[in-house]
Amino acid sequence: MVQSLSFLLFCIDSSFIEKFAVVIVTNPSLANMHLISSLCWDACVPLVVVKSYGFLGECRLQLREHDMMETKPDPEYLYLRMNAPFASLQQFCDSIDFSKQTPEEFAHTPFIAILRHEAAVWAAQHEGKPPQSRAEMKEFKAHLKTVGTPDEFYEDGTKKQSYLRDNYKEAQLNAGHFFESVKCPLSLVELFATDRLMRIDDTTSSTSKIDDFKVLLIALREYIEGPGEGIHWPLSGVVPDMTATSDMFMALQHLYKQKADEDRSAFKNILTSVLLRLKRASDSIPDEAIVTFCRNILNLRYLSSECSIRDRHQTPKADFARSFLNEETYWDDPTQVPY
Amino acid sequence: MATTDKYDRQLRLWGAGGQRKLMNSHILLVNADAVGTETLKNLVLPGVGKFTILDDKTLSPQDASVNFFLPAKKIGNFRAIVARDVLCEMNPDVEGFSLISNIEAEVEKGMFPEFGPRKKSLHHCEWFNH
Repeated sequence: MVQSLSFLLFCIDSSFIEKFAVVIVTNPSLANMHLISSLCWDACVPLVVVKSYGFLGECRLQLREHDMMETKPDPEYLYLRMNAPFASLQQFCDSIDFSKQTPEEFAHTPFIAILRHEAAVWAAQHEGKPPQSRAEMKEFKAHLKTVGTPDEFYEDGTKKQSYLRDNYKEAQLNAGHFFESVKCPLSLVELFATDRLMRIDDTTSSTSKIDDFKVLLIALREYIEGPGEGIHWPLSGVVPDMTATSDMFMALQHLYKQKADEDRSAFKNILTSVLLRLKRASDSIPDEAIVTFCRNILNLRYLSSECSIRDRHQTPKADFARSFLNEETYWDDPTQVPY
Repeated sequence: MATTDKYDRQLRLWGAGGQRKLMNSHILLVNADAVGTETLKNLVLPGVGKFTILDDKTLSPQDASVNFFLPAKKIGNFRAIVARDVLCEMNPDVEGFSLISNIEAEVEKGMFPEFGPRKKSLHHCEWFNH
């Protein structure tokens, strides 16, 4: 009964729409849609407008501000700092002696160590430079294939049909990532360039539900500029499955997790100072959120509609729409496609 | 590996955090038509916390012929209530509300002069929660 009374009060209060996580409208009349669009825009509530007519359908989102931490890409790209190793990773790779490996060890060396070793070999033969072109990358990968397919012989000395070892195959697949320049990823650059994300005014309206996300982003930017030296962000600490001995794999997992914990700790210190600066309690963002944030730095996204559906209907982008009717520009010259 | 947790498989999809967000959500559906009730079904089955259906129409034969959630024997009842009942049956963990209201009529009556604060009189808004 108490619940029912409070819900009744929702109806009287014009901000009843704020209670909802999402509003779904199906096949509304235009007036209905405009009204709900405005209500949801003002209350900063995500709106989904669905229209269906037999087998045709349309689904439209209105998101005033929507932050995402766990976008769960599949497959997920796990950044490993292969070419900018931290101390423990460097030590791990240096400890492997490639000149004295048994066939078993050879086939179970983690691809990270293989790449570090082979990249050094390449650099020594190319004036200290990494592969400079697609042709050179192809050469590098071909070299990995040669090294990774060791000669094998039968007892009578005849040559066996050999095969590329799995770990060297993994090295080939990750070679491109290895040589990527170490810099702030595009997704973060875009987020940092979004003015309304990176600023928190004292007069922030109560409809902003993503304050935590904004604060975390501000702290992240400070981390990258500070301890990250402009190019590093807190490591996620996750290591992909790979062909390796159990001991080696567990050792790698351990050192990555250790580094991630250290990074997150440094990040947390920065976050605390940002919170205090914004006059918020230093523990107002729960640990769980910080862990999720640091684990998903490459997966962070922010969506924001330009305006409400109602506003878009009242000030349509007529030229943009009209340009699609111009067959010449749309079909013949791809550079003219206006998106 | 089967478990007795009925949400086990979807937990593997969106994790405990995702499930928690779903369970703490209250969804509003405006118009209990076929596509609307189907959409709500997809939220009710995985265990959304609460939903509200806003619809003032009564069930017509046309509605019943295209919508599993609006059975023919309930023709004449409010769609919002019928749909709410059927959806709640699908997952007892979920709380459902119906709101018998017509936003358009409210607009015409001037209840939303500039979509600003509305002065809503109680008798325009009946709701049911059985």
